[in-house]
Amino acid sequence: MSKKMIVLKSSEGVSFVVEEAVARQSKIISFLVEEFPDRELPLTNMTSEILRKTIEYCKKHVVEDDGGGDSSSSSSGDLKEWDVKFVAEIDQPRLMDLLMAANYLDIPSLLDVTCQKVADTIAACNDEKEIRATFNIENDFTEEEVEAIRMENQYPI
Amino acid sequence: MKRGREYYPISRSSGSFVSIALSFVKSVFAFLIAWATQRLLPTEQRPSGSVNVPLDLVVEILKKLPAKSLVRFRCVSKQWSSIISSGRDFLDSIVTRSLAQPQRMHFIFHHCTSKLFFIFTSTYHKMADNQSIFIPALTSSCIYKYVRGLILCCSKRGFNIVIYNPTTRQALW
Repeated sequence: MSKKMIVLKSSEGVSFVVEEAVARQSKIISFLVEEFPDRELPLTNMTSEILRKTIEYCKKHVVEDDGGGDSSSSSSGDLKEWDVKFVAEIDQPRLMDLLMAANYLDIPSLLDVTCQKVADTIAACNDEKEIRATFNIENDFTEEEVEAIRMENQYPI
Repeated sequence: MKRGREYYPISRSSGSFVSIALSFVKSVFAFLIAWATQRLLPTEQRPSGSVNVPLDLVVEILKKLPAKSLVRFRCVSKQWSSIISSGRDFLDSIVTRSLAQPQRMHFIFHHCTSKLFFIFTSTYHKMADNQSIFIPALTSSCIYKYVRGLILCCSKRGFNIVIYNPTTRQALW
């Protein structure tokens, strides 16, 4: 029995052919497949690189309905380990793109993993300056306001 | 000055209806285009790494931070500060997560010398994380209660009540 395939197109116009079960982990694609069967789905806000990464994740996480013991179905422990390795290999800018892709395509588990990785990166920063530099956040506080916040979290001596 | 004659369409009311319908359709299109360009802007048009993360995602990311980091990083930006310190849902989710974690053993010693102070130590923390807290406003004759990582002190007459949160280093008088 041949599996139904779906074509996803990246912003560069590169087509990716994936199994329906793999693509359906995205709630958005799941919806689009039902609304527009047999059509190529353009994902114009995703580069080929990010789309490839997303598909790689979905392939690993696909749940085989027929229970055929496919190599893609893994125990949850192994899968968690794989997830950690998967996000560890991605650099900061691409991680943010992947986070946005997971949000856009509505893939809850990928969103969770990428959010956790970003949170870990934040927690590893030494101070707020490092965070601002890493994530391009503008400092909209005055010196006095920062001092006032710091004072709130100190016990009186 | 000679005024030109004014001509009105015969069915004026139907004309205005068409124009209203047209302007409505136009505004719907304008909205759709604006939405699509915002939503579907190709990634390569943005400088890499400067992704404008929507507010709901910032909240989700911050929810995953340890409480101590949250306190330290409140002064990153006003947006972060307002999420961390004023969101009821946010605080609830931090408490829920904390309670779901395996119980950690904490030892609290209180010293009732001339100055009252507490020392916190934990089986899970390094020595450097041990904290001591001085409580100046109360006399040494206090009553203490420990609940969910918070300490309540009140003087025996009940005039002074203080709640301490050792994790965030905050005191509520």
